[in-house]
Amino acid sequence: MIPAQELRKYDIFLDLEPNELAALAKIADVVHASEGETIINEGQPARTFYVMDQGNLMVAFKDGRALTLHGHGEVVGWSAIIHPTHYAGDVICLTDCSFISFPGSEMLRLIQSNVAMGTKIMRMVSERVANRIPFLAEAVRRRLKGGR
Amino acid sequence: MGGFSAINAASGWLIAALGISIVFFGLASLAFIITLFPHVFDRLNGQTPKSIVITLRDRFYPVKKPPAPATPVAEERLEEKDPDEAEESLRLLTAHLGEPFKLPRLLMLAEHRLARPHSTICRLILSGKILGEPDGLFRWAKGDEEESSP
Repeated sequence: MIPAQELRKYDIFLDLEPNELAALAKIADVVHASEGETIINEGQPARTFYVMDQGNLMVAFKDGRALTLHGHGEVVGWSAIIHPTHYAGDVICLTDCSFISFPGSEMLRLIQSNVAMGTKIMRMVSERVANRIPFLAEAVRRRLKGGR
Repeated sequence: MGGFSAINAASGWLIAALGISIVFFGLASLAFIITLFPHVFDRLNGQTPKSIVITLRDRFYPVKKPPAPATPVAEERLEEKDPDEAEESLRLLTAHLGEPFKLPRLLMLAEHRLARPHSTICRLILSGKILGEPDGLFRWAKGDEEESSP
């Protein structure tokens, strides 16, 4: 659990009400990872959603394409809150990183039980992910429609 | 003498069991080798014949390097002292890969050559020397493209 005010620092939670932030804070945790560490493996069941606090990382896909994410507020592991719940790529820390982590099943339960909160979070997550680079936009659209 | 008696007399059961074992282990070995194919193809995917030769040479006949520093801290200092050398190593690797290149592939190759490949590549990306393309591939910035941030 982390203080609810901590979550206010992240863009994707800016629109949330205080009670919604408090509910999310209850399931959140702080995670640290070292340079070179793989925090997400492609194809594994997606059990954790991460919001990056600091650091730099690479998201690598099976076909060798990749993107790098740098610094505060980036999200990874979004497959944990979007079906089908398997990670779509490897996530490797390029430097020491710290994250706020959320158990996917509990976050999904919160999203499903509070439609308003779920809509806000899903909108922010999909905007962030889809706008990263064009080759991901098509993949995001496919997954949101329910395909792989 | 004929039938089972003849088989018994000529150690036929033993020979049959031996034959079955040979075939079984032969097929099991073949199946195991076939399961390795996807890994081999993954590694070779996107490489030129020349880079395959270099990768295999580095793996089986590594070039002798000067003795490594005793501690990770010393290793870090060594690399920080000479970032240009690390960049040059990466440029040589990408010369074999061709441009644009796949960043995970470069990272994998750099793990054999650099003390801290992840942070070295990150530094080059942040300094704008390595640029990400919209299609998820990467390339070196040309002279006037280098920026202070990606």
